[in-house]
Amino acid sequence: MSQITKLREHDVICALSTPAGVSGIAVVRVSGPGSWELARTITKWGEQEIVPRQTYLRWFYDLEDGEPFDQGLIVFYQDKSSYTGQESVEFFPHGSPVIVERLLFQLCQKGARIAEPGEFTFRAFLNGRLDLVQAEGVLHVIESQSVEQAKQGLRHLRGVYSQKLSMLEQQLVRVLAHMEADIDFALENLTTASQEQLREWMTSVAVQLDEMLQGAQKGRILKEGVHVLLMGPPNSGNSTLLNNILGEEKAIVSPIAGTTRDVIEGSILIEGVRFYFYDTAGIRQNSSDEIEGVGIKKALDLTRRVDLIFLILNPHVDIHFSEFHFLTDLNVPVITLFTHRDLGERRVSTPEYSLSTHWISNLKSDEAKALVVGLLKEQFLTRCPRDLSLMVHVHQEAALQKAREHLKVAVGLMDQHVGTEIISLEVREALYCIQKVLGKHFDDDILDQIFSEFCIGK
Amino acid sequence: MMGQDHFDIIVVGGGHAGIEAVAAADRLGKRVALVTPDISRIGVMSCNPAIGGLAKGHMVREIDVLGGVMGLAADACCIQFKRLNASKGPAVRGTRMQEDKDLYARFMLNYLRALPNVTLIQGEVKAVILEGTRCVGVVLHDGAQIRSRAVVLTTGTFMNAIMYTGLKGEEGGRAGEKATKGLSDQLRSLGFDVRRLKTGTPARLDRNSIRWEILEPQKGDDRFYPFSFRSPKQVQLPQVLCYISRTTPETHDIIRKNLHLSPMFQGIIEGVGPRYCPSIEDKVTRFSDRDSHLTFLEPEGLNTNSIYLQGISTSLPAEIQDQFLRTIPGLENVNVLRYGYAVEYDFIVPTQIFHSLETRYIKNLFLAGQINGTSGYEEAAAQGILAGINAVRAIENKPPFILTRDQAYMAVLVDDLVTKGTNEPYRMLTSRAEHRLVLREDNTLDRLGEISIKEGLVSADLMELILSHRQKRERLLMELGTHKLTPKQWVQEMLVAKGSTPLLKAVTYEEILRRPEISWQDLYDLGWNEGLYEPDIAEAVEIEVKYSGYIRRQNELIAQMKRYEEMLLPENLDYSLVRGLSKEEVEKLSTVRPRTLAQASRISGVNPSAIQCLMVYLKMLGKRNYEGSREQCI
Ligand SMILES: Cc1cc2nc3c(=O)[nH]c(=O)nc-3n(C[C@H](O)[C@H](O)[C@H](O)COP(=O)(O)OP(=O)(O)OC[C@H]3O[C@@H](n4cnc5c(N)ncnc54)[C@H](O)[C@@H]3O)c2cc1C
Ligand SMILES: Nc1nc2c(ncn2[C@@H]2O[C@H](COP(=O)(O)OP(=O)(O)OP(=O)(O)O)[C@@H](O)[C@H]2O)c(=O)[nH]1
Ligand SMILES: [Mg+2]
Repeated sequence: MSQITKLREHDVICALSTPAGVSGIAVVRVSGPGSWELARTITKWGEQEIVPRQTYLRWFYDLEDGEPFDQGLIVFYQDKSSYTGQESVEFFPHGSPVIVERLLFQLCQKGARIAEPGEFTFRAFLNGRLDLVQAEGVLHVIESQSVEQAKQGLRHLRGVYSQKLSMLEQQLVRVLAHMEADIDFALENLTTASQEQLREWMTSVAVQLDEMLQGAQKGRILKEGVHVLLMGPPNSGNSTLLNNILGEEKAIVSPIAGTTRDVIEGSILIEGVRFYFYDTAGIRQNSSDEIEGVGIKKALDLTRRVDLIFLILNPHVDIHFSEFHFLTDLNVPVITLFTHRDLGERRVSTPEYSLSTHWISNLKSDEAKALVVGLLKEQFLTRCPRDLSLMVHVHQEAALQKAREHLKVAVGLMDQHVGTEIISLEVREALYCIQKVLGKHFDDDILDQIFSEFCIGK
Repeated sequence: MMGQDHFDIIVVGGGHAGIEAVAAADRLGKRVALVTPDISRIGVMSCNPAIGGLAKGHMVREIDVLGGVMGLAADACCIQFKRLNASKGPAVRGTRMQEDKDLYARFMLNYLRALPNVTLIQGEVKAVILEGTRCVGVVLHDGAQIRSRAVVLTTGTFMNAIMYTGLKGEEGGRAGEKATKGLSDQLRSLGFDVRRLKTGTPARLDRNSIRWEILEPQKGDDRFYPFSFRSPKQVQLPQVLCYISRTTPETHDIIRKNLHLSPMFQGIIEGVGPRYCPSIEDKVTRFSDRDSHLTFLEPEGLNTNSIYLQGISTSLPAEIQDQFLRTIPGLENVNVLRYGYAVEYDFIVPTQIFHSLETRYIKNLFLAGQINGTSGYEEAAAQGILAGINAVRAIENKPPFILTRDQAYMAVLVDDLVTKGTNEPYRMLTSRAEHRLVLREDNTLDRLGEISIKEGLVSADLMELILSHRQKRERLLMELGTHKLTPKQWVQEMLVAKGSTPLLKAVTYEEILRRPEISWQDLYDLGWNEGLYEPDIAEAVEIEVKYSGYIRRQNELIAQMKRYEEMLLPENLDYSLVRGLSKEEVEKLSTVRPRTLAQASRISGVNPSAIQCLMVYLKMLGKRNYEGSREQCI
């Protein structure tokens, strides 16, 4: 199959058209016949009639779990009035990479693909929306972006990710070599792999693809959310902070040390990602209370299962740092918050396992909440890949998912005893998907493999 | 005949490519001369005694629909018929016929002799005559000049050829025939990139020295389907058996011990050999874990004692061949009629020709067959017919006749050659065709019939046949869609017996046929009795029913590609002026000089962004003549 299929003008393409990275509002552009329908699906639009060029405020949904992940403006354009000269839609989600990525991912899931560099402008040009002078500009865009993309490609190719993918590619090439040899060298009585063997090879690749798709860190955060533990000595203010973050009185707050016993849990959405918070019993070694002891144990158990720990300390009481020393060996980032600053400054040493340390006047204040949210964003949302790599990422995930789908179909066909010439089409498509991610083009790999593996000849 | 005779076209070489080129030009009414060193050797099969096979059989039918000779000859001289992959999907079945080699060559000679516009000239061509950058004739070995308006070179394995049986090579293009010299040197001096390739052939054995009684026989198929739509539907010669034997560990031992006597292993032959036709030396070293390789004993004809030993091609010295052959069961006392040999020859790197097979540097000079780096009779014939047609078009000042990759295997062949070149003798395989499901033997008439009529290659009467086939298919499809099978007891039992599932309600026969495990033949057992259909009609319909979804998908893809196939790139385009191309891309594009945007996209190392840049560049040039040029690509 030729690369040119990538240039198909009737594909729905999508891309972030504002500079990637964190910004207030991002613009995601979608173009091609079917864009409107796609946008309707993602926004669960309903029956309402669409008026072109009008601005609507809508929720954007993750169609897998049916939950909204962001709310933003959306505008529809008809052929005549759009930038590309094709049916188009513009989404204005919040400008976090995670939300943008999620939106692009949803679009790709529903049949769009990530635009090639300069493709929007290119379509605009083809549809007569730009004149020849502007066309020069198009070339500039393609030129510069190709360079950028080539660099990106290299970076990605070096990763472990691509090593693994190359392995899968090889496995599929082998499957195809056996299938094709069986067809093309019918006379030679080759001992090609049995149907069972082929089935096993294909299934194994599908399973590995599954693992890769699930294993992606980003994927996990989107699916499972981020888990944050609030812990500290008794009476340091855990529950106060939890209530402030959640905006409701979920935990009992009292001046009595050891109020919280069981784990108290609540969650909020930050930029489309769900964050779970756990308030726990204050940690003290010499607790004589049996129930409190159980609570402490639960808190300690949780330390191993969360993504981040806030260690909350009141500098105005004596802190027994030794009680938190176990955090040193833990593989979870810890951020220390000193509270009760409103009661006056007090110098305390900060534990060295702490990623950073912050002082908070009043745990009930808006500033306190803003600080915590800011820290979480920095830690989990803005560290995502920047710029084009972001798109490459979505691109890849969608392509790998397609690869897996094709393999599933292939195995299904095999079970129905459909001919190899048909099954091989599906396997080929799966291979193309993987090779696309690797930035490789399909060439004579399969033939090479046939000749190296089989003894063919007169 | 000093300078007197003036022909329209001269074809050099009476091999499989040459024959089709001559016959095509004759059909189009041109005066053609065929020059070849030995007229009695026209149409000789240099190697195995068979025509067809996977993808090759497909091409024979394509050649036939374009009015070619190969299918007629193969049908007439067939001594064993086989449908390959009969147990596989109907889309990848291929016809293979074993031939009586002598009769085949005689058929060809008689055929050419009967053509009205053809003159056969015995002689070796030493050089082509140029006027500026145009080819206007040839010079023979005796200095005689023959003039023409176009020349087609189909010199096969003969140019500067050296044959090897053991370490000592001797000049020769084929057993008993001399190499030809001068032509490729001239082409090199004109700036052509000329390189070496090699191929080999096994020993021929004396029928009377083989212990047939201990060998396992192999029969052909009972049902015969001719290649040609013009041939009788029955075989015309008695059918023969082939036999199977295997090499033994002793065979391999002998070969291994004597590798130092094989010219290949001593690096004496530098030409690259085909990977799908490795010599037995190759097999034994590359697949050292196997202690046995299969071999087929195939008669080379009805009236000859010569037996072809398929699978054991070699260039070891004669006495070693004697030794190892006798370790193969059945060959204990074998008497060799002709020892196996390898041949190394000059070929022209095919990225130097256009899709029309005309050379890039010299006008009205065409190359076809093994000279372009291919291997095989069918590959040669396919190019020959295209070169013949295009030579005619060139002298008529018409745009070239070019088929697209979704129309024919021949087009895949030519496009691969001119786009990618080749490092080894190129053989056609079904896996080389991305549109394999639509390039089938059964639909060849449908694919190429009308084009062929329009081109004047076959008589317009063929249209009746095309239409009647089409009607029959449509009628059969309709009947399958209306007649129903009801869930009676015996039906259910029959379905289960065939590995299928019982019916829940009455369904049409079409739906039954859609089941992968049910074949057309099974329908008869299930009570189908709506008249008899020719096998190719039934097969075409079966394919249509079974694979409709996939065929639709391929057709969609083809339609998408079509636009780019129709966007022509100017021949003299200076790629260094195109903004946005990388240096490597400029280099590749400048070498291959793709004809269309689609072809450009098939060059490895040319990225999609480069294609965009080219499109923009084309538009900027104000090239609006795509429509005008569309006719060229039929
Ligand atoms: C030893 C050997 C092994 C082979 N093995 C295989 C194989 O395993 N599989 C396979 O598919 N194919 C094989 N072939 C190749 C097959 O024979 C060719 O591919 C096919 O015949 C090519 O057809 P052609 O028309 O291009 O050339 P050829 O059939 O070779 O015909 C060339 C003709 O041109 C004539 N000629 C050459 N030079 C001149 C000149 N200067 N002037 C006039 N006439 C000239 C020759 O005399 C000859 O008649 C083999 C060939 C040989 C010789
Ligand atoms: N002045 C001041 N008081 C605070 C602050 N944060 C919490 N407090 C008070 O400190 C006391 C303990 O607060 P909690 O939130 O119940 O503390 P905790 O860590 O949950 O305590 P336990 O559940 O008992 O372990 C309450 O009386 C709060 O009102 C702060 O920033 N400044
Ligand atoms: Mg508490």
